[in-house]
Order: sequence, then C-alpha cells, then structure tokens
Amino acid sequence: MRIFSLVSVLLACFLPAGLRSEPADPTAQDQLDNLRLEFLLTPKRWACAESSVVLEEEQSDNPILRQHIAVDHYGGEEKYPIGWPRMYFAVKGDEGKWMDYDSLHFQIQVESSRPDTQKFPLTLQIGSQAKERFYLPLYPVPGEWQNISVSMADVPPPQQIVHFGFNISDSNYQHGEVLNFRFRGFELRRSRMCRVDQLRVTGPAIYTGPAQLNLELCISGPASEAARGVPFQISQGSTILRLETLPVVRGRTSMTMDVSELHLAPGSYTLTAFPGLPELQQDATFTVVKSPWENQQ
Amino acid sequence: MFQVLKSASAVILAFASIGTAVAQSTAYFFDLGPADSPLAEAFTVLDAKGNDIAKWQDGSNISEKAHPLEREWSTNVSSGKGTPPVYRTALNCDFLSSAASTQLTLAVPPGKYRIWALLGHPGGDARQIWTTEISSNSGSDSAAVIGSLGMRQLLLPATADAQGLRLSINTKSKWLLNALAVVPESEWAQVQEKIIAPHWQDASMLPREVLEKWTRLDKTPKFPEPAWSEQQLQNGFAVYHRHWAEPVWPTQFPRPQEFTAPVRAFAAQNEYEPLTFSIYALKDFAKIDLAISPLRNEQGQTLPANDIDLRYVRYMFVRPNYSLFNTYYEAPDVLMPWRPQSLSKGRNLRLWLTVKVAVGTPEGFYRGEAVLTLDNQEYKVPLCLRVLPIVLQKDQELVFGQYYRHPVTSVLAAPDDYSREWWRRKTYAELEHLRASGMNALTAGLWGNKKDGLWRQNFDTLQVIIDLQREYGFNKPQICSFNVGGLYRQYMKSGMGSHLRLIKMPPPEFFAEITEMVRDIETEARNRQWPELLYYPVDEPSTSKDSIEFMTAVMKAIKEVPGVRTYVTADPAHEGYAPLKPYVDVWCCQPFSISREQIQQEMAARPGLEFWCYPNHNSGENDHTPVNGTRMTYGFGFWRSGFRCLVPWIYQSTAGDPWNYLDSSSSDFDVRTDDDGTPIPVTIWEAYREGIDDGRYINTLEKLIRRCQANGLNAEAAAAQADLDLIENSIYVQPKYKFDNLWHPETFDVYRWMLASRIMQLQKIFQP
Repeated sequence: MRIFSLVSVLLACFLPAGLRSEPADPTAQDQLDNLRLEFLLTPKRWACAESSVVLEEEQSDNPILRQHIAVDHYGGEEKYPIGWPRMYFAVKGDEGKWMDYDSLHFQIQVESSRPDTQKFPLTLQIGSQAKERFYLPLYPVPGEWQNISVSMADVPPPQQIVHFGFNISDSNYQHGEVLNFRFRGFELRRSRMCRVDQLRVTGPAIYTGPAQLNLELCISGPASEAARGVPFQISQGSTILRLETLPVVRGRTSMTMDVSELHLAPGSYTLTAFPGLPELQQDATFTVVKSPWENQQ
Repeated sequence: MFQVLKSASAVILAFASIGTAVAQSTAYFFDLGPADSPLAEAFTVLDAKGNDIAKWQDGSNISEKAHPLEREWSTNVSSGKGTPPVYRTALNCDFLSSAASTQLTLAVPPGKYRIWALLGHPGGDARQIWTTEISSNSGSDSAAVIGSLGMRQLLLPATADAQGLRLSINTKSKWLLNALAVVPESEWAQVQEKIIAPHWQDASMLPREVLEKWTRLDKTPKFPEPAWSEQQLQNGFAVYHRHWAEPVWPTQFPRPQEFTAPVRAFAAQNEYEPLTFSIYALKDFAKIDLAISPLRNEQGQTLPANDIDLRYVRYMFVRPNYSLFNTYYEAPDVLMPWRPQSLSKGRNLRLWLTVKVAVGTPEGFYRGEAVLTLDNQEYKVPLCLRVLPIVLQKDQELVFGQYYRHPVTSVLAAPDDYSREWWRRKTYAELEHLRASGMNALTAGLWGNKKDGLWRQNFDTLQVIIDLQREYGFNKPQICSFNVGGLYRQYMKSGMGSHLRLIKMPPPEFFAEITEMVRDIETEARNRQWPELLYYPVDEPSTSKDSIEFMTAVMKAIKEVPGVRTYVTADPAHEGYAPLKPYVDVWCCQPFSISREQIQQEMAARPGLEFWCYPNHNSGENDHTPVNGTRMTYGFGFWRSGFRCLVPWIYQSTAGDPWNYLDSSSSDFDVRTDDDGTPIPVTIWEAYREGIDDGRYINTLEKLIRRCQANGLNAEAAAAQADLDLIENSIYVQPKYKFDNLWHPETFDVYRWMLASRIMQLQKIFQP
C-alpha cells in the first residue's frame, strides 16, 4: 500500500496539471484514488459538428460543459441531412493514460425544447490507440444530474485513449428540437485494493465427473494486488468444500477453475470471492447435473 | 512487352518483370478473349481463332466477349450510398464461351503439366448457369458460375505427348474461360506462388491496387501456444475438440484441455446434431483425407452412413459489417462439403459432422471413428452419439421465418434447360434445408399495378410460392410486400428512397388507391384460399417526421379493408412511431427490444397484435462468428423473450461474386450455394437449428408438465417446472445475444440434458 501511495505521488509530480491525482471524496479516502480530467473542460479543444459547446459556471469548483444542438433534418452534411450532431475531443499523449484506472465517472443532464419527449438518447464514444471504439448509450434525464460510470475493463485495450466524445442521432429527435446536454465532473478512479467487481459463472451448469467452472471476472485495483490472488470458496449450503487463493488479472478476464477433485454430486453450489469480507464479497451459483456419459468412456 | 508476348515466338515466357525469383519458365499463359481487349502482363492472347500454340477444334462455335475495366464508383439514388464497380482485371475482363463442347490442342513439348484455368464474371443474364469442365488424359476439374458474377479456378494434371496436349472443354449449358496456364509439373510450385496466386487473388478478392487500400485486421482471440506433446511433434499435427458453438479461427492455438476433450453428443430421435473436431498443423500437409467408420450401438445397430453429413469449415475474408469498406479479416464461416485438401503449418482445419437421427432409431451409445489420413499417417478420432428415446415436439404457435428470395421465380425465366433445372433443384433443396432446420415461414411479395381500371398483380407467381411452401409444411401467416413504391412513383414521379429517405406526402387519392389495391389482393387471397397475408408496405421506414406521417397514412389506408393485418419493420419502443400504433398489427423489430412483460400486456389488451423480430446480428450481416449468441437467440433467449417470431434478413445475401465478400456494395452472408444448386450452410445457420432444438426440448417438457398437471401428478409437474425455472433464472437476459454475457457453449448442452433427463423420467409415467 505504501508503495502504491508513493507511485501516486510520483504520478502527480510528472503528470500534466489537468491530470492531478487526489482522493475521490472524504468517505472513500482510504479506498479510492481519483484523477480529474480537467482538460476536457476546454471548449476550444472540442471539435463540434452540427452542435456547439461552451463552459458554464467556469469559476465554480465544478464547471459545466454544455453541448447545444438544434436538430435539423434538412441541413448538416449533404449526404446525411438526418445525421449525427457530435462533439469529439482529441486526447493527447499522457492525457490518455487511462489504463491505470478502474473507471471513468462524470455527470450528465439534459434540457429540451420538447417537454413531451421522454427519452434523450446520446452516445458516449471512447477510442483507444488501436482505433477500436467503445460506445455507451446514455439516457440523461431533464433537470436531474445523472451519474455515469464506465468500467475501463469495458474499453478495448490498449486503454491509451486518443478519442473521446458524444453524439446523437438526428433520427431519434424531431426536426427543430433544441437540446442542451450538460456534463461535469469528469474523473478517473481506482481502488487501492484488489476488488472483484463482477463474478460470473459463464457455465452455471456442469456435469458430474471431471469438470471445470468457466468464470468471467472484472478485477479492479492495483495489478500487483490482483497477482497476489483472490480467495475463492466453493460451498453447498453451510458446508465449505474448498477455499483457495488464486491469482487473477486486472480488468475483464476469463478463467477456468478445475473442480474435478471435488467429485461434486448433483445439486446447487455457491462460488464466493472474498468470503467473509462483506464489503468485497461476490457470489455466484452453479448447478451440477448427472452426466449423460456417467459410466461411459 | 505486350507486343513481344503477342508474337508466337514469345509464348515461352520471360519472367523479367516478375522478379529474379522466377528467372525463366517454359510455362504457357493465355488470356482468353478478343484480341483487342486488355491483355494481362505475362500472358498471350487466345481468341476464338486460336493461335500458333493453342488450336481450337475445327468448327468450334466460340463467342468472344469483353467488359470495360472500371474503377469509378457510382451513387445509388435510392440509398444515397456509393457503389463500387465490378472489379475486373485485364485477365478476367474478357472471356471465350460456347454452348457446345470443344477441344483445345496445345503444341507443347512432351511431359507432365498442370493446367490452371480462370473463369467467371461473364455479365449478362443473372439466371444463366455456366458450367465449365476441363478434362485431360490425366484428370479433370469443373466449376459452375451462377449468373453474371462469380470467379472460379480449375486445376488439373495433364500429360503431353509428341502431338502435344489435348484438353476437352465440356458444358451442360455454356462454358466460359478467361485464362489458361499450362505449367510444367517441375515449375508448378514456383509459378503457382509467383503468378497464379496473385492473379487468383486479384480475381477472387480485389485487384491488388484496390486491395492495398484495405487494412487487414486480426480478430483472432489469442490463446497461448500449448506445450506440444512428443507425439504431436512427431506427428506434425494436433487433433483437438472445441464445442461447435465456439469458433476455431484459422491460426488460433488449441487450449490444452481441448486435446483430451471427447467428441460426443446426444440427440433425440428426430434431431440433427453436430460433432466437430479440429486439426492444428505443426508442419505442412499436402493432402488430408477423412473417412467415417459406421457408428454402432451396444446392440450392433448402426446409423445409416447417408445420415452423417461431412463438412469442413471454410475460412472467408469478411468485412466487419456488410456495408463497410476498406477493412477485412479472415473468419470461420462456410461449412463446405468435405473434400481432401492440403493444410499449411500453423493453420487449423475444422471438421464438421452433422448426424441426422431419424425417428425410430434405437436408443443407445453409437460409437465409431473418424479416420484421418494426413499425407501417409493415419489417425483415428473416437466418436460417440447417444440416441435418446425422445420424440421432440415444437411450439406450433411460434414462427421461424427467413427473409427470402425465391429461386422459383428464376425457373420460368432461365435461358436454357440446364439452367432451368438448376434453379428448380435450388428451389426444392433450399425448401428442404429450411424445413429440416426448423423454419416454417418465408417472406414473399406481390407486384402489379392498375391498368385500364383493373388491378393486375402477379398472383400466379405467389400461388406457386405458397403451394411450394405448403408442400414443405410452411403454414404461418405470409409476410407479403406489395407495390406501394410503384404506386408512389406513379403519383409523385420519383422514388420513395431507401427507408423513405426521399419521401414527400402524396395526395389523398394515393392512399385511396392503397386501400383499393389491398382490397383487390385480399379478395383474391380469399378466393385462392391462401394463408393470411400480413401487409408489408415499406421496409424499415425512417423516424423522420415525413416518413412517419406517410407511414401512418399508408397503414391507415390498409386497415380500411376489414379483417386485414399490417406488418411493419420498426421499433415499437421508439416514441417517434407512436402515431403508427393504432394501425400496426405485427411489429417486427430488433430483438428483443421490449420486455416480455410489456409484450404480454399489450398482446392481452389487443387481440391480433404480435411482436416479431429480425435478429440480423445473428445472420452474418455484421459478424460471421456469433454462433453461441445465435443459439441463445433462437433457443433459450427466444423462449424467455415473449416474442412470437424470428425472421432475420436473409437466408442468402449475395452481391457480386457469391464467394467474394469484399467485392460489392454490400457483403455476402449466410447460406451459400454449391455448384449443383444445393445449399451450403454456414456455422451460424447450424446455431439456428440448434437453438430451435433447445426450444423443442423446452416445449416437450412444458407439454409433459401440463399433462402431469391434468392427471394430478402435481409433485412431478412441480419438479419439472423447477428445472425450467432454474434454467430461466440463469439466463443473462439481454436484448441482443451475440458475444457478451452468454453461457459457456457447453452449458447449453448441460441444460438441454437436464430437460432431456426430466422428459425421459416423465415419459415413463405415461408409457402404455
């Protein structure tokens, strides 16, 4: 932990001003580091098409980026009059080193000239150096700040980010509709300890006999902590059948767990990561079914 | 250089332009076609008159044809999108052809040769089937080109004597040839690599100057290289088993646990089931062959050899989406009929057996072997199929449809007897394929207009289609497009544009005529005792204001005719479509865009309302490999969704060369067609059938549960229902099942086995 804190200090010294790392909030001070992406609050660096962007409440602690769109089904690009109003940000160099973080966070709000509309679909785009893009549909709510969280594990590797932006599809809106999307609080976060954010048994039913559990995990926190391992427990009811610590890899990952030696009988079982640690514990169930090949070679 | 090569003395080719690797060759290269059409570098012209080296049989009636070399794109007015030209090269822009067999005599020195022929891209009639067979004294090869576009190559051995070398060129309809190479056996490897392969790539993918602007991607999921065993290293190959629903990519390493995984499956008595295994080559193999021993059960009973269909997975160069250009990658796709073939070091060959278990097959464990011969090594792969005493049922209310282009329409218009018979064979073979895969509905259309006050529709053509579909048990409502576009053009003097892109509101008379047209169609449909028609005026109308206003008026006009139901391909969840709601009876949208609860609620509130969907993300339209996701969409996912129909676009998408996915405005995908007109499935297609079969296991158990309940066997019914509930609760419910958040492929089989076990248990209760 001390080593990681030192790394945080070193990172803070060498990173650009817009990438300063600091504790996320007082209540989570001992679990999370955060990195405010202040560079995204520079309107002139956004490339806008069929939309415009300005900064609001510039002097406040939490400035707001406002994207203004007047939906036009007849103007814009000649080939696509019903097109995709958008604003894109070219993320440069160290600004895009998001791979050391677990998740991206920001808040979003919308304001529309059409009070009868219920849905305001907007798409978030994040592009990596490998030219692969991650898309996330967003549905902001008028007058309400909505928290958006994107797991970096969902962004295609390498998570050296070069592109970030938002777009709408004109076809989802009526001609003449006026929209203002507001964004604030862009920041990256990382846990200071290894966490299993998601545990899934992708094969939640297996045969009796030689068998493997196929797992999908989403691991956050420092890679070194993940390599030290996560305790996994297999149990049936209150009976613990196995407890072992297995090394895992940071990010979204698949792994197999051989359970052949347990000779599991037909029935329901539970796989638990970090058993006995309520704040970290994740459970998944699986079923063992009598094999059609039992007593057959 | 071309002039030099055109002289007779230069038929022995100088390879200076190709590089030092091939300094000199005694091969002969002929570019067939008119003498004044473009000539490929290093080739000499061979026209209908022949030349000093190559002489046609006297009296041969050979035609010459040339097409321009085009590289300019055009714009499709309807869609507004760019359309590439037909990419021809100097070698395949021209050809010779004839409806009569002939002989070509080549004055070449005695010796052994390889003959390579290039044929295709004839242009012209899309219904013409071109069959070309070349025979020598040592072998033969043949290929068919379907319609106007498609490139094929032939390769055969030949031996020349003192009189030279004679090739017979035969056809069942018309033959064509673009190019011919006569290569001494000793030079074949080098010539093939340096000359033939680049020309074949030009013709079968894209010309090199076009292809160089495309980026080749690698989408292969990477596994670490396994520790090869001594035996594997000694053999030069490793055989392994991966679940059929998980793709084997061309250069992907096997996983260690796959070496020992058995090749086995279980099946009910009226079911098809795949058995697959793969070979990873640790060295080059010139020829791999395969034979299957009889599959025999404990009592010595065997499965008929004809019921085991033997195929291999063909890797295709594919685009990331059917409408994208400039990027491509190699992906597993087509299930080609088995033929012996070579395998290069570092590549996979996946063998794919589909076993049909006919009704009445005795239960038991049927065991046998796949016997591989890799060059001179023999290797046996044990196979096992457990046949269950279950006859599967099916939810007869569900619709498994396909958007479809009916080949029967080409039968009547085919230009010659063979082509007509070919289209007829394609018609019946595809219907049988569709039926055997579990499909029970196809789209169709009516086309016609009003003339002299009378509506004239092609009712007889649709009659043929409906009769054929009935013959194969397709008994669902008929999705039927009709000529709204033609009527619009009549009124507005322009097209509606793709997805109503160019729509302008027509006058009220237009909508009155829509009503009149539908009334006329409906009257005749009743007269002809057709199944219910679902009126489908426009495909995927856009959400623009004009589009929705137009569509609302069209649907309202259709509903003026009492008792008819409308069909629209649009998302009912999209609030822009709200004005359409009162007039839509069948919504067909992306799967599974609305919740089961909402579907049940809305269907209960309005009789006749149904929710269908088109799972195009599972058809190969934008990815050829989501096999596991496709199985989920068609089986457990569909069961969980509340939707009533799956009807993807499209059974066979073909644009340009059907074996070239890169060459046209949109990519080819889904089922291919063999030279004889029979269908060639793709891996995704097999997942349709397997998903439907998952649903049949579910439905068989559901019916048994109801039977138990009807007979007071409540404990048995509850136990079976608990199985279904467990499975349902373990589904990671999502709108589109593709790659993410799916069960592991083997889990589907475990759940299917859980259902089968319960079915067998309950069946025993009711055994007479």
